[in-house]
Amino acid sequence: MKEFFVLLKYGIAFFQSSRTKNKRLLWSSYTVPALMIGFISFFVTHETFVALSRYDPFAPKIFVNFWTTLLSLFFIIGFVGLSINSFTLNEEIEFLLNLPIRKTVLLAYQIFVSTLTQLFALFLYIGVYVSFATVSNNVFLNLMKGLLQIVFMVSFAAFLTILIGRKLKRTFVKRLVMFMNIVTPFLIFLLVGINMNIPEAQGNEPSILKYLYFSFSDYNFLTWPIKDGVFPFLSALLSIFFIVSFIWLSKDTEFSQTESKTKKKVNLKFSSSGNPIKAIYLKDIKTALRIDQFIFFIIYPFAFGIFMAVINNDIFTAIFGSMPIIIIYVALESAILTAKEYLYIDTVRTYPVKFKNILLPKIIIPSALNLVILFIELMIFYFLKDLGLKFFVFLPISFLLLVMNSLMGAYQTIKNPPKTENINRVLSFGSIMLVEGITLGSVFAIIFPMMKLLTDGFDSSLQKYLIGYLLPFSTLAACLIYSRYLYSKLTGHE
Amino acid sequence: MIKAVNLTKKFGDFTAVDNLNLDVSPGQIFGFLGPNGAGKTTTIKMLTGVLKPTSGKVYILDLDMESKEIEIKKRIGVVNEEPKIYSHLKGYEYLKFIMDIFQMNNSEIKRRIHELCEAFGVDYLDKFISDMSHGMKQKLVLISVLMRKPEVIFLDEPTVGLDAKSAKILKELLKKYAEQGITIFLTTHILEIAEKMCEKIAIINKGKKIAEGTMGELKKMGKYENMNLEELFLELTASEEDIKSIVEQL
Repeated sequence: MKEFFVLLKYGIAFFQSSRTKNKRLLWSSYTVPALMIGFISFFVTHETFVALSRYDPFAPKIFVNFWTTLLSLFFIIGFVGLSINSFTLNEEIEFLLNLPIRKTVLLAYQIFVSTLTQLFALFLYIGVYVSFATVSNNVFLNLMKGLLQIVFMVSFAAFLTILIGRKLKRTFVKRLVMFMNIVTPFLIFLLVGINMNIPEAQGNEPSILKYLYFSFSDYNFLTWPIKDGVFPFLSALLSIFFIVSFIWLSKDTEFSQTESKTKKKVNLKFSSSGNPIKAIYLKDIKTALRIDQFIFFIIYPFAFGIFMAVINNDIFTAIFGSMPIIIIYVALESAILTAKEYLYIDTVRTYPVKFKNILLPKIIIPSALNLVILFIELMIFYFLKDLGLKFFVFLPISFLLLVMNSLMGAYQTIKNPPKTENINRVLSFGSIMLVEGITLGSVFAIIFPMMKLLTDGFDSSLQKYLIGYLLPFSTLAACLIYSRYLYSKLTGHE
Repeated sequence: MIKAVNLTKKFGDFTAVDNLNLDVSPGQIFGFLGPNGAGKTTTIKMLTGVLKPTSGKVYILDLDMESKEIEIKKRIGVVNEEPKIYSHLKGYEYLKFIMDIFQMNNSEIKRRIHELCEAFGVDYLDKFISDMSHGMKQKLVLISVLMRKPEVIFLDEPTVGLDAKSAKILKELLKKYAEQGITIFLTTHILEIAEKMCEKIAIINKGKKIAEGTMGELKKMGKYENMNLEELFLELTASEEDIKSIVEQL
């Protein structure tokens, strides 16, 4: 147990991959957003539970069972997926295995770190469940059941990890976790959507409820801790079984090498285009497609952008809703590619290529990929919602903003380049806030007035010229100047 | 072929390389020795254009590094101590990348790749670089440099991580290339390699060059005749008595 707290204190697996050395700040960056999600879900669902209890005292239980099932699934799958990496014989684990630390402790620590990555789902659930408990007849008993649910989820997830983790194909698990990570934020929308449906029912059976009955089945063991009767007792026994099994199985666990075995011999052909610039772009595209983080950073804003385009009838809401996501991810994508280049900078600087040619793909590739997302959003509006062609003027403007963000992401990375291959968090919390702040301000100062200009939304000529023309064009000019400044700072790092 | 004139590199108040002067002739195998932290890697980085000197000049192939950096880099090869290469590429993808960067695409290069792979026992080009060990990466980097047969080759501890056979092949290959007029600049801790391979050796300590010459010339600098390079090196960089007293105290 002492060993566990030593690992926790020095945060080997946890802090080494982080960019900030301030441990308190790092803990806060994980816990504070999760806590906020918990509070939001509490307040969003409270009215729903009150409305449901007015309709039928049994109805809140159905609702909470549904959310328990859904969030438990997300928690467990995400937890198992990320915990799989606990079995990888990386440098840190190799080092720790040389020390007198029991494997059980090592695994428990690795799994504890994995739990932190699921804080979002966990606090979302806590918010929903506490909201339910406050409208129930026995608040204390239900809170205890909620606690049991968390213990049950974590022990089951840890048991599953040790039982099947080594047998699952790493690529399959990675894809599954990525899918879960993309879908998880849409849970918020589902929560809001369902919650809007229920108070609107005004005392009649909410239409959504009939779809949720399945989660109340006695066979749904994911909800046993919060059910009535003998089920909480059964789930407590199961949790003990999972914990004991975990301890017993972990003693004989082997850590595996990271290398994958090639199944078949590949016939290698050494042909090349002889074009260094093309080679660098191709190399960066390959790198981007082979980093799971990068793929997530593309798919998530893509899915979000399509989602916003489909559910909104107003182009401005769609664009303005998806831009904050797109702009931060373009900076992160650029940061990842720049970080990956900087890990090998001593070798890269021996190549007969100008530094700016090494740097440019890190800006162009993320900007172009994300511009496609915006293009598709506009196309959806054009074909399905009669958007005028004039609105496509946002594409070049958005490209400029994307390039500026890319430059910011690259610059923030070069200012504090990574030292290890593990680049879990390429940009610090402060850098993300800076990027988000500057670009949101630019988006608001450019896109909002231009939208109004294109839809003849101004009341007077003065308003039109000041807000419709002067504000966006001056902001655009400032963005151009700032981008130029960032570019010169970046190339000056040669 | 390689010329350093009053080369200095400072990091803040710390002087890593202090007024270093070097002159390496074409076709020479030049050894650059020194204890840990002496300034060897910093020197190589300045000579290969990775680091800009605080002051002084670097000339490679009679070209000024400050003004002809890209042209010089097209004609030199560098093998760093740590094989830091793109981990997300496969071995053969990295070689293709190098071929593109150096704009080389002919049957001669391809033939040389196959020969070098066979010589060094490299049969893992379809593996990801991230899955390769240090030695495997080192061999890949060596092939990526040797396949081009550049006019000047810089090697920083090239035998680290190599198995005995590969190290021997590398040493013989470097001797062969030198005979063909290629200039070799290498640093090593293995003094036996320097003694057997290098025509000229320079010793650096605490950023300053403390000795330079052929083995015969260096031996004359020693306390007594017939000193080997290790004894001479230790005499110049740390006294024998210091080492004995350190060991006695432990």
